[in-house]
Amino acid sequence: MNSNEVLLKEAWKYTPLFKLTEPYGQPSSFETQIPKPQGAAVVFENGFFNRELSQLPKGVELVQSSSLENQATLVARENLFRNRDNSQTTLCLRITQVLERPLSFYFLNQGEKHKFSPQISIEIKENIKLCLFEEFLSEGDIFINRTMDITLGRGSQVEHIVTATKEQESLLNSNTSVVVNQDSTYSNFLLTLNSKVIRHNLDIRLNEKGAHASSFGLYTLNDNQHADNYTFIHHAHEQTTSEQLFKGVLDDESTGIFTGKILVDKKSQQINSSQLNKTMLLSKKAHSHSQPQLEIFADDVKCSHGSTTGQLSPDEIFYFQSRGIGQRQAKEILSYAFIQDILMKISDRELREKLTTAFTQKFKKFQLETL
Amino acid sequence: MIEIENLHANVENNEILKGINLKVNAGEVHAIMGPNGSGKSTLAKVIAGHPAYEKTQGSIKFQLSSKLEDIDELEPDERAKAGIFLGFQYPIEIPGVTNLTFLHESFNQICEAQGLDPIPEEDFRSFVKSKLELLEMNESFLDRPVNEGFSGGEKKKNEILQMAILNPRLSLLDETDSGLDIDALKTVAKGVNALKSKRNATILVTHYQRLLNYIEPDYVHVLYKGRIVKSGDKSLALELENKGYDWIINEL
Ligand SMILES: Nc1ncnc2c1ncn2[C@@H]1O[C@H](COP(=O)(O)OP(=O)(O)OP(=O)(O)O)[C@@H](O)[C@H]1O
Ligand SMILES: [Mg+2]
Repeated sequence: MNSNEVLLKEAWKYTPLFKLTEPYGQPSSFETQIPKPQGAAVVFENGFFNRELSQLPKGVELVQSSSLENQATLVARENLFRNRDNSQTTLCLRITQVLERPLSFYFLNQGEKHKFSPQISIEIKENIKLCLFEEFLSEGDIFINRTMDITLGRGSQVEHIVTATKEQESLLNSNTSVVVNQDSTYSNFLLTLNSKVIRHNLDIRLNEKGAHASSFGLYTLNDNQHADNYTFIHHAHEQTTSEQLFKGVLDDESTGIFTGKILVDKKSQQINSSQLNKTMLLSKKAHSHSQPQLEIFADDVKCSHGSTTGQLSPDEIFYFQSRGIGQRQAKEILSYAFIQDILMKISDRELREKLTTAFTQKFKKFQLETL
Repeated sequence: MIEIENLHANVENNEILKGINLKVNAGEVHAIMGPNGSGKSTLAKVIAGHPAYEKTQGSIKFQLSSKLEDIDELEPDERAKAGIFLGFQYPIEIPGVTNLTFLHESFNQICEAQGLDPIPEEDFRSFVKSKLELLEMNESFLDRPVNEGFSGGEKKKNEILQMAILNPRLSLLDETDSGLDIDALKTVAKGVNALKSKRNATILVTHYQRLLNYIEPDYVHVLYKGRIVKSGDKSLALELENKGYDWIINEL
């Protein structure tokens, strides 16, 4: 093996995607029976952009792929760990206005042993504020390999949520590449709760002075669900900042993985970066892996990182019980309490409430046995 | 109200309670005093049903409907629903859950157990406001996480607030007075007294006679090495304040 192969193998250690996805082939149909949720949205059906189902709000333009030089796409091409499907056409969007409501992306996918590869490239102009919300709605044993490249113009503020709130059997691999330019803020939320196998690849390049990235993640898993969060934040310029917080709650025989690579280039001085991964294990058979990877080549860097694993506290449970709240309910409330700070960071109230409900419902499916 | 006979209990296989006998009737206030480590908190937790405390002998009978019944089989939350309240010596901090959510959930559970309808959060908030006033607590406490960052005295007040909301029949107040300043002590005592009635009873665990000036006990018991070694009326507390525990221990 050459060194690239070694790196690749290491990056996919817990989720051997190439092997897992071998049985999946291209679909023959582009239609699904999955109903599209209400409202303005970008809709993909079985891997392809569906113009009829989609409704683009003012300020979101469809552009020819050739005319779009998305920095994020260029950066993404250099990255080894991506799983880009080069045969696929890319939907290119340009956002030229502040969007009051979140821009939703719905991925409707249906099949049996089929593979879908939606690809999207988004160019966000200067001083734009918006929220991107991606929801996967899948039926059947399928593989989704979604790619999204996002470039933030100067002074922009972007919130970006990736989730699948309905229960689904699918295997999802997401590749997200983001370039954050001067005085822009990008906040990403990888919210995993109802997918069978998930691998998120998130690359953020802090490209110019004053760029900031927040990377948040939740994975609340039961049965033998598997969630692998592979993140890379590159401080490619001086005076850039980043924060990361990932929280996992693992029941049954589930597996939760967090890899947080942070690279600070030699010339990137005055960097502030924090990373924290907290996991709560609710079952003896659940697995958690946490791997910070810090590569810091500059000297003027403030960088903190940490990782903790804990369990529900019997004293806290007893406190609830002593106030008439049953054990099961106490555990559900405490599990939710553990993750709520991340959900509270979502600015859109409707989305925050929708996701809060989804996570609260998820805990109802947990065994919550006493360890 | 409650009848405890020959109660023995272990913590991690060490016998802490070694034959407690105690009977408390409705309308009564009992004070339990005793040196550190004698088993006072253990007794309170065994009554409340803490799973780490294992009852090995004897019986705890509580008035459930009209008659005294063994509560061995009741989970801690069922005991709470039956009207037993434990005010913790060291109240637990619960990050991520606001005091209002906690109190509301708890109140609704108790209501449900009594066959009453749950009440919506906004109505509950106004109900709680009157209790906050009684305890001279600021409304902002409702929106903070349970006990997190509360001062020692604020935590104790928060326990009494919970008691005022749940209106239990038997209150076990474990050192609710320690950590309170003089004004807070008076306020808390006022709160406890306001809730006293012929239908409920209070067991106060305390080290200080001072509390008993404000909440007058009908009986005072001394717990020593897992047994009640002396009982008397409120004058016993005064005597202990002056003479300490040695004279009782020497009498044994
Ligand atoms: N969870 C536990 N594990 C081990 N030992 C315990 C535990 N809880 C209580 N004990 C022991 O039981 C004994 C009685 O403790 P308890 O807390 O009941 O005393 P107390 O009378 O309330 O004392 P204080 O006046 O200091 O509050 C002590 O020796 C204590 O160390
Ligand atoms: Mg004690």
